[in-house]
Amino acid sequence: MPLDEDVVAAIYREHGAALRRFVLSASRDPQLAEDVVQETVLRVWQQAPDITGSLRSYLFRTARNIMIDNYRKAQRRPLEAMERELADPAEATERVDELLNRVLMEEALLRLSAEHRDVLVALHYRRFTVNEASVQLNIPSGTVKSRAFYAVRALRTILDEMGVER
Amino acid sequence: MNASDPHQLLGAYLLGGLDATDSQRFEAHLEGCADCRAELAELESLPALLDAVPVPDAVALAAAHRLPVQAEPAGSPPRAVLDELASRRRTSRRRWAALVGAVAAACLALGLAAGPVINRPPQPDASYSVQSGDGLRFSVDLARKTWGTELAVNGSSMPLDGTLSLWIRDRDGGEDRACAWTATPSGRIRVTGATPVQLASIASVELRDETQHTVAVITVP
Repeated sequence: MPLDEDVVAAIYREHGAALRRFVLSASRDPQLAEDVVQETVLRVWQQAPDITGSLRSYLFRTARNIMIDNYRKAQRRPLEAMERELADPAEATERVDELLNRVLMEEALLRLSAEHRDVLVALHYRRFTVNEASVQLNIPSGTVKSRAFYAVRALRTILDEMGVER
Repeated sequence: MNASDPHQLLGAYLLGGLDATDSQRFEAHLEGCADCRAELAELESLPALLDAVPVPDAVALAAAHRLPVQAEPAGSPPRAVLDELASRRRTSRRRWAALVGAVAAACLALGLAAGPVINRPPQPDASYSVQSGDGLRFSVDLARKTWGTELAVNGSSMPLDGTLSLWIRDRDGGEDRACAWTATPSGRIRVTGATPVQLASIASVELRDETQHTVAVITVP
């Protein structure tokens, strides 16, 4: 069984940067964000034996819960002027959840092959038709169709692996 | 499967890229194809999920792979985390020990107190103890062996009659009797048992009385 220090070091090595990016996007205070990252890694380490599925999405979810707890705690304290704008925990929760969904989907998109991602972005985000995408990506329209087919399947599999609910 | 296979239109249909002709062709196909209907149902939440990523970010993601990959600086844990790790290792063991005896609490008097017994020579790989309100005290040292796990049981104020036994429940739900003994008039017992279950696979250790009724449980983290 690996040493705890090794487990924590491996989590930092593989997921530290992505986790910090996510937490920083939800928090304007870098020191607070760093605390959330540390707490997240430690909690996940403590729960490590029970984790199934993608460790990264588990880390993101844990960070999300810690941030929301922090908002709730902040609300129970007499408010400092700086915190007031984030004082509504429901609003804060919604905002963090939006960010979480976004981070998870970005993660999923990055796991797709470049060919699949290109077609998905062209059709869904840029609202191109198959023929427009074919011109844009310089591939036959039949290829756009078949790639779109395999891309949505691959994305579903990736999301299932990451534990993203349907 | 070739590109004109209507089944393959599903992806572009779902993403909204088909022209009117292909759309109609796919919808006609859909009516007669249960496989496609099932697959479409499974995938239909995707567009909404994709919308969580703003368009400019998604477009940037697609462009990103054409740029030289920027290596992310490999993070390493700050000193504070490693220090905290050491202290949590202790508290989490305590927390785990507090899970001890969910069943025991139900079977025995309330007022259950549990705490780990640490650093008892020779040092076992894991140690747990449980104490009930009516005085039953019971500790188990678990030692990792190549053949499985050795269990050193030390109890006092144990049930006074019948045959007592110690059962191991593994993480897959299997059970193994590690040892059994005749209750002593003093209520004290020191006995060593063995199980082929590896330490890491042990989910709980249960003490059972003559009637196979569980009188104490230690839940192993």
